Amino acid sequence: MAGENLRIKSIELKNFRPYEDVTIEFSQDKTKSFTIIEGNNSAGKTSLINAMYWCLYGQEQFLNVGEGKPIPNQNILNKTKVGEGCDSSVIITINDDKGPKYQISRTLESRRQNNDRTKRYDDDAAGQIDSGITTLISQSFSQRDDRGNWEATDDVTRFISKVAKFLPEKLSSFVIFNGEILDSFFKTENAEKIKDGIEKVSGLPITEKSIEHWEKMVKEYSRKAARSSGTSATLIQEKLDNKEKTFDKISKEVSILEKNMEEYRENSKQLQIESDKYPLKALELLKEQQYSEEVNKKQYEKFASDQTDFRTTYIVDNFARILLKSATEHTSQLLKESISKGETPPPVKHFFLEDLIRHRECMCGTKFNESSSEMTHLNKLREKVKNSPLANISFEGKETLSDMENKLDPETILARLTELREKENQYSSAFREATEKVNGTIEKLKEYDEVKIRKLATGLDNIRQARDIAHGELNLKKSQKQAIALEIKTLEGQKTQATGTTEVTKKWKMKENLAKMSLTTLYQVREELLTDIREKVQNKTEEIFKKLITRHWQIDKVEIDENYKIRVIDTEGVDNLKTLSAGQTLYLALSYIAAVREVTDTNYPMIIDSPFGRVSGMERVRAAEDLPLYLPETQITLLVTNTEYNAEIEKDLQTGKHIPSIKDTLQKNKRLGKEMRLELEKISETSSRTIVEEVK
Amino acid sequence: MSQDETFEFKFKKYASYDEEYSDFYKDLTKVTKSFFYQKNMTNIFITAMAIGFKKDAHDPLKKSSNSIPTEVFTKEERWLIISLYMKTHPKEGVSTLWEPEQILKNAEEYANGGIAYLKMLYEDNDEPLEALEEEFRKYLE
Repeated sequence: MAGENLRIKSIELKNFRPYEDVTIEFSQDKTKSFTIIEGNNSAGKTSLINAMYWCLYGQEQFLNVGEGKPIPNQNILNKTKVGEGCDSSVIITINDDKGPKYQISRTLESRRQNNDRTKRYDDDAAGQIDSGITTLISQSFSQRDDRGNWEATDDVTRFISKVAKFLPEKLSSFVIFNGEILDSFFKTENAEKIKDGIEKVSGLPITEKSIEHWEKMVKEYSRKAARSSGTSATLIQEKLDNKEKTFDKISKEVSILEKNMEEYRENSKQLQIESDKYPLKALELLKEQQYSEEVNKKQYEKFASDQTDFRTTYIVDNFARILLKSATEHTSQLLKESISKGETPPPVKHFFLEDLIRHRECMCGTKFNESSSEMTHLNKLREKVKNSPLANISFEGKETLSDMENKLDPETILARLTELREKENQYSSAFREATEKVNGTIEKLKEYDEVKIRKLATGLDNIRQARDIAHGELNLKKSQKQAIALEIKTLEGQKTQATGTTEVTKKWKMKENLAKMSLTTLYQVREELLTDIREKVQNKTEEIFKKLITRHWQIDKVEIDENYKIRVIDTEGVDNLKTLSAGQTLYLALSYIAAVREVTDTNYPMIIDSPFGRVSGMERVRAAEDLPLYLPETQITLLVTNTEYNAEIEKDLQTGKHIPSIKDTLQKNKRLGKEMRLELEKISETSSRTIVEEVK
Repeated sequence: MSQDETFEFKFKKYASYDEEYSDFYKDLTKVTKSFFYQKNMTNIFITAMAIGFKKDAHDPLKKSSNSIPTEVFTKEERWLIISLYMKTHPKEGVSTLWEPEQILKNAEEYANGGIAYLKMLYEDNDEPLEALEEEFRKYLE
């Protein structure tokens, strides 16, 4: 790979997640080195990055994106009938200065065997698919040799080895990365990342091999010296060899456990950072809030609706009374007159008369007999009443209309109407407020991906448990290692005493000493090499970082110490690393990555997803202007949202200056080689696909 | 009717609206935005009758529906119906109470005249209840 200037020529995606059949061509122009792929959220940007990762390493980088959805495009997969298949493939073609140099492809073949549509998780498909579907993965790596002939392999082992040579997975984080999480690049185990980067570009593998060789030779000469000294020394040497073997085995186990521990620590920190952004507790609080707001909303809705009912009933009940007021008053008057004229005597008199006659008793309590004058008078009155059959209905009318009249005060009705309306308005506005609150909370909840958050929380718990287990194992292994080291030291002492002084023994001992001297020199070379590269990376990082950030005058230097810890020292001598803003940390990461890349002599392309998502204002423009200067001839692909790419600021709050958009900046500096837009096209109520349009 | 002591004032079994308004009457009790949502047919009948009276609109029914049981009229509604007759037939006085059928017929005709206004009020306004209240307030002020 050394000395190569590599550019992605194209990526072909077929039935991969939202992509059905799409080819994306990248800029090959050395100066107009930027390819912009613009798309809204969910348009397929991250799926594109995942497709590249999957093609190279067999798994996606950002696993949460699919949320259980499998790699094969679901529109296509769902339509397959028994016996039919759906091939999902990604083909990446890489150019060097002479044209196509590498072509890497991976295909997932999904075939429907039967109509069982219950879901199951499939490792190859990386998601839930129908149980009636089987999957098969194949891959191919083609490479053009110096004579222009193409050599291809589809054997898994050779494929992995070829990809590892072409772009080792660890190095991929310096080639394809997510800008949104770059701000946390140095917030977790930064020393390990820096050490990684520096070791990768330092040419250490060759030195390491030499060290390995000389370590073997030292042991070999030591064994030969023992063998030449007789049985006792040979036996001790055999014991020593066994112990050393055990020691190496345990050392390897310790190293694996330490590495695992480090990964657990790193992963849990990354997950913690992600969890902190969208904490489960905040989500649960919001959900509780939403619930109580919903209860309020329902209550107010009922109050308002009840109040409308009261008002309606009140209007309907009184409407006819008021409109017919003149009629009821007229009738009431007629009835009164009729009663007073005796045309319709009130029925109460009739009952009263009957009562008096039956008890033969006067109203004053005086008793009288059948033939008395009082009785005759009462009988005459009864005859008169009998002749008025309208008495009952008239009396009912008089009573009813009188009741009604009491309710017909317009002022009282108007006041009641106003009161009812006000109450209804109060409840309606309380309902509206409650609805707004609920909607606001629902909007806030939309920012939380519940499945993702719960997955993160579970993931974090699992990692912490695994870390605790590994921690226990590690302590055990470390103590075993210490014990064996002690035994080896004792055996070495015994061996020195048992080793003879013959010429042959002396010869091997001398060779052993010479090998030890070579080894010491190699250790020094390794240290010097690392120091040299570390300093180069440190200086380059500082240079680029100071150029990129706005408050560069406050930064004195960037330091990477012998333990690979990075520090950003200000003019007061204080380390600012922990207090850098998200944007500044992102630029520190970019500067470091650019510095590491510059120290290597292989020019890989660079692909950044959401590079400016967390950066605003002048820092965006600086990055667009200055990054190409530090990454000359590097093909840079940015996956951006419309806002990231096209937003300009009329007047910056701090400087008052107009800040152009990234698009304008790239166009002005003649850096824009190709511009593509990803659009999500709806093809049915439940499905959509990504289409790619080149912006001319 | 003979004037004997067994006389009982009673409307015929059903009051009617014109078949033409049959759907409208039914809709008014079923549509949520209606001012008569979940109310009785008698409420509509009496309100229409009152509007008919105020607007002096009374039309004979072309085809009677015979669908509102008069038993469900409250005393108050019965006396609104009677009062309307007495007011619109001032010469007949209390003796008019001998003629419940005439009284109800008169009410049906006014309700038939008023229902057209009620329909207009309902159909021409997005918020019929507000329009009805506005109309109501006119008679209160």
